[in-house]
Amino acid sequence: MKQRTHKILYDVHSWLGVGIGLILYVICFTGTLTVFRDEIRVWSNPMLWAIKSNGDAVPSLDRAVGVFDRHYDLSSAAQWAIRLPGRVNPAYELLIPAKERPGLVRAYAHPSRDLFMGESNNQIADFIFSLHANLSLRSRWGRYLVGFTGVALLLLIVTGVFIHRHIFRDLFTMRWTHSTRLVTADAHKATATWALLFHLMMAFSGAFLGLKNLLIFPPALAEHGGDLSAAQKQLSPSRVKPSGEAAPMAGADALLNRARAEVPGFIPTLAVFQNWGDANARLTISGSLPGRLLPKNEAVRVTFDAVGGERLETENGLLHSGWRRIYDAMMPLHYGDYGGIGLQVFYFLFGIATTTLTWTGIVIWIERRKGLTAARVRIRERRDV
Amino acid sequence: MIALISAGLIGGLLMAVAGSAFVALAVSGSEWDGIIAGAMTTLVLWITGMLLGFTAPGAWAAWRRVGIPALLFAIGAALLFP
Repeated sequence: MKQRTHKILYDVHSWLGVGIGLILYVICFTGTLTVFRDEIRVWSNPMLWAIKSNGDAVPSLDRAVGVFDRHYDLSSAAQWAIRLPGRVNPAYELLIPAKERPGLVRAYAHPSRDLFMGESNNQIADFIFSLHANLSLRSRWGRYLVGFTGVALLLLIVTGVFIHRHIFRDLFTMRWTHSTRLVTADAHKATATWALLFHLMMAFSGAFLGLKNLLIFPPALAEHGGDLSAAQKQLSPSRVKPSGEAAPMAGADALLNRARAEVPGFIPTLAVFQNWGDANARLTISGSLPGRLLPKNEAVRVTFDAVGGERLETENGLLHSGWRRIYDAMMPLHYGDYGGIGLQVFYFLFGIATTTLTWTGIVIWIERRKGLTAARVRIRERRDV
Repeated sequence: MIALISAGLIGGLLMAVAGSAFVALAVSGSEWDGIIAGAMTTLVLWITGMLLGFTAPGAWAAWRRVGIPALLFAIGAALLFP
């Protein structure tokens, strides 16, 4: 590589790194914690610690809906959801739009008793996640900002690879007894090289997830021959509107069991209720296919007419075509929720590596500035003498 | 310097958008296949465009480096446009 090209790439790497270093550090650090967000949510809500399943009683979605209906006006919300008890979360969890503030209310019902357990009084898991996904900015610009930071991280990684001359030698180089700058530089290169594929995967999937609403628009417009409304319709299908007529709802447990039988191996994790209590009510049961690289809550989606109980649509992620499968893989690849606890620990450790990379990058820059300032002072002193 | 940066950032983005439209139309399969392939290409092409623009020997060369592929992608997309 020419010396000039090398210098430019080095400058891009260092100035871009300094410019976005702190934001990147926050995103990487909170992203590392986000791997355990479900565990953090349970840990931060002590009411969930003591739940023990009553052996005689079977978990019932209908009972949970009844419990929540006594405490919230479910039919007034256009859409709300219940997360089903799973490996980490032991209770039914209601997610319903809050009335007095933006965001969601989380409330819990006992899995095997007719018991309302209360609202979540600790939002730390949501705060960590929102800091990671949109820097806690409520508008869509927060998400875009994180997406652009992902693009910058991608550029940092690519320029880092180009300017890194001794990629294999530096894998095993750690000069512990040397100056802070050298130790930090060795740590920076070692963590970058050992976890290169992980950093690349995180940067690409993070940039894609952050910017996907912007990225898919030009190709969607091209696919639809420039027809803006057709492109918008495909990208965000409209919801069913309520009819205004009240109607009795079909049993949610029966629909849940039918959804389970639709796709072999399907584990329902979420029930989404639309227009509950209305003649146009819909119940969508979605969930995961363990061991498959598909989104945790969206691998399979079965939609029912919640009044008559008719199955309206089944979307099975395994039947998606090649590019759609790659798109589906972005979310689980980024959050590491397609395996068990072992995979979460792996993601957590490699997440620490990415966080260390950003931190050591900032320290190298600071140490280099200190060195340059000291050198300038020495030159000035010599000149004065 | 500013010319190189703008060529990399803006020219690279234009190249990426033209490339994504071309890929979306060129990929056979369902509509979603083309859209997703195009969206993913955008990121790869934008990074490539930035590298090409930033490391060019001068402003004109930088814009040429990203401009010619952008034009070719745009022509390709126009030929495939339904």
